[in-house]
Amino acid sequence: MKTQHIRTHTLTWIILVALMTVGSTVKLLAQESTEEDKKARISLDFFRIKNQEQKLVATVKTRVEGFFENVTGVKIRFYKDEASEEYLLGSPETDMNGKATLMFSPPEADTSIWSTYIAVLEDVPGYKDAEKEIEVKKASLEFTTEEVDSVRMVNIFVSAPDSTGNMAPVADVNARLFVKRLFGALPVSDEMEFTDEEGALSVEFPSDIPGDKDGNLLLVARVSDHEEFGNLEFSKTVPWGQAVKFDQSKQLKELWLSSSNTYKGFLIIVNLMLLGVVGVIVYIIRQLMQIKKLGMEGSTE
Amino acid sequence: MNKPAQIQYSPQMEKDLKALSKDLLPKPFGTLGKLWVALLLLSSLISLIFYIHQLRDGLIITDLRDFTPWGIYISNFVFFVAISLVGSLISAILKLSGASWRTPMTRISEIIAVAAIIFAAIAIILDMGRPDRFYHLFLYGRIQSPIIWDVIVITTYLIISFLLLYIPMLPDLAYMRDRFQGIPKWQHKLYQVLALNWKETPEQKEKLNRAIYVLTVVIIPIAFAIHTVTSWLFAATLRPGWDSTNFGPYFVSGAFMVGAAGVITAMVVFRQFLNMKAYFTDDHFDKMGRLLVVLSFVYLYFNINEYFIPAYKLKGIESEHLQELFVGNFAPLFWSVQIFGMIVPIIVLLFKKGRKPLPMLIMSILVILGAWFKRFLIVVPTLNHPYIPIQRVPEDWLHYYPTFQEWFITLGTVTGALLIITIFIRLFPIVPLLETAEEIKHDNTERTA
Repeated sequence: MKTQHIRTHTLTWIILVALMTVGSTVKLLAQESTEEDKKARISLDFFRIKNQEQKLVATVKTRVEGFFENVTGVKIRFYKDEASEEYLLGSPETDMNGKATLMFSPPEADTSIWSTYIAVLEDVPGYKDAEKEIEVKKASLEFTTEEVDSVRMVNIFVSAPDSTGNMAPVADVNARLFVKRLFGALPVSDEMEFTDEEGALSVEFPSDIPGDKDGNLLLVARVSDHEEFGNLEFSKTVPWGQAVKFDQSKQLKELWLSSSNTYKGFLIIVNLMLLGVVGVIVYIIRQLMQIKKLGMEGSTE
Repeated sequence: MNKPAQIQYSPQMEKDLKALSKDLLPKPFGTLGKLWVALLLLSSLISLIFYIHQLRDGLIITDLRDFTPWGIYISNFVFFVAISLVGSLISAILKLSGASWRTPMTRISEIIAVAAIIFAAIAIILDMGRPDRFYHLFLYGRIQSPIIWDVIVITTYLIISFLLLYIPMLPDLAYMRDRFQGIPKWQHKLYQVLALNWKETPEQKEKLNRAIYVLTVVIIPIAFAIHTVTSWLFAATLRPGWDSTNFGPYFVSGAFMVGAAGVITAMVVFRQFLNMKAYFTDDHFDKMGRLLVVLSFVYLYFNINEYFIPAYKLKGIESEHLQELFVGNFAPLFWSVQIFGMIVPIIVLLFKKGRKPLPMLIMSILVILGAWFKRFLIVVPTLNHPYIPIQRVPEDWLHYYPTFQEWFITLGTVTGALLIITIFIRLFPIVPLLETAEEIKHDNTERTA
């Protein structure tokens, strides 16, 4: 009976140890699987600004527990045409929004109509290598402004190389006009307006938008997410805003506003206090000079 | 150049001065003293090299960024301003309240004040990205700005503190000019120039006493102003943790506490290394200990006031700031500062045994360290919680971890201040010689009567 009891006891221990071993192995395996390199997804956007500057923005995200999270602080290598060192444009790091941005100017000799841009994430610990490639066509966005019978018009033009390589108007391009504000851009034109056969889109400009103190406004025309051109932007400052002038004399007389608004009483008190302290210092120095003079009187040598 | 005749003291006074001068006149440093000076020089030199590095490359070598433009440089500045207030506490407040036991500590407190305020001004320059434009503050500063108030009040306090250190020292300088033998010529010349022909005449004494009295009265409001204005640099802005009407007295009370701790630390060091046990007695420590306890209680009261009501309301971003302090990333530092920098010293110093030199030295060092890190906790966590949302910035801008260059440059300001104090005690008596002799004479007269 006793022997059987010992056997049962031993068997229980063996089962327990086996369970613990299996449990630990499963746990270890689970850990290994979570420690596997994560898959990163790259989206790539191209921007052409004022028909000169170009910008590439790669947004890197990864899926964590079913949700996409930004991948921050990883280096993204941008290439033009081919992913090899000689075609490297630059390699910025992603910011806290998972965006790596590269500004660059195309070489003047570059006459190619189509360009391929590649964003590559490689050799980053914790992430599998990833790559995104886009192809964009050369295009031009610009606008002119005119005022006819007190009506202000902004004429936007979009053009791109035709089959012969010459710049030609492009129709049916969705373009929008904005006014740059402090924290963003105020849309002036409707969302669904397209260029006509002349590649043109005219927008009537309102006359009641506040500008800076001289009435200047920064107008911005944009073509966003075009399937061939990517993003185009053109901007120009025009004196079409209402000049905004602050009459500071009507503002509250807070101490941190301009000197002219400060309470005179405050200035008088502060300056009197300063004069008082300086007066004390002068008085003390005078006392010291008199002490020295008194010592000189009756000197022996 | 005319030279005043040697001052003739009364025979008893002469005897007392002779005895006192053996202990109190500055002596050449021994090996330990020389090592100490070498250490301070080396540390200051390393800091200077790092600062030149900062001048060359800019503030990029620090971890100061858009959201934390005030890091340990400004914490250190506030600390120095705080500790400098001790000059007014010992030399003015205790003097006007008739506490004659303060005599041996007056000069210590004044030299601490002068050294600290010099390095407070330097600490501001260290934080400047373009220190070459420092003079713009004076040329283009607006009197409406608390920054200008601070510049004015620091300059004034430095001048007044210097005068309060120098003027009461005239009789000692004259004594050293006349009777200090075996010193180099330049040292003798220095005393001669600085003594301003002091001859102990009744007219000179009258002018000296009047000057000291005026300075003693004037330095109190200026001392209060200097730290209140420093607190306004923070309180005048709308930021969590700083937007407080309590900041002026909160800063001033903390300043007196750390200043007293600074003097106690110096007393222990001088007692031990300059052989001044007879001048810094247990009675002095007992009284300074009591003073420190009272000042700590006042500061504790303002601390409770400063944190309790915002914690009770927990409004908006203020609650994030407080949670960061109470239970967040800064919690270990925050509670260490409150407990070891304030509560423990109060408890220890409440007991008579705690008011002996060694425990007081330990408690004072805790108070000083606590005070330094408290300034860090006032400056940095608030800057990490601005009202304007932090967007599109690199991740490392969200935190502030001082770089080793910042630590070294900051350490250099501390060693620089210690160097000034060290040079001072090498050249001048750290305990007033003539004043102590006068007190002995006064005590003897009272005893005879």
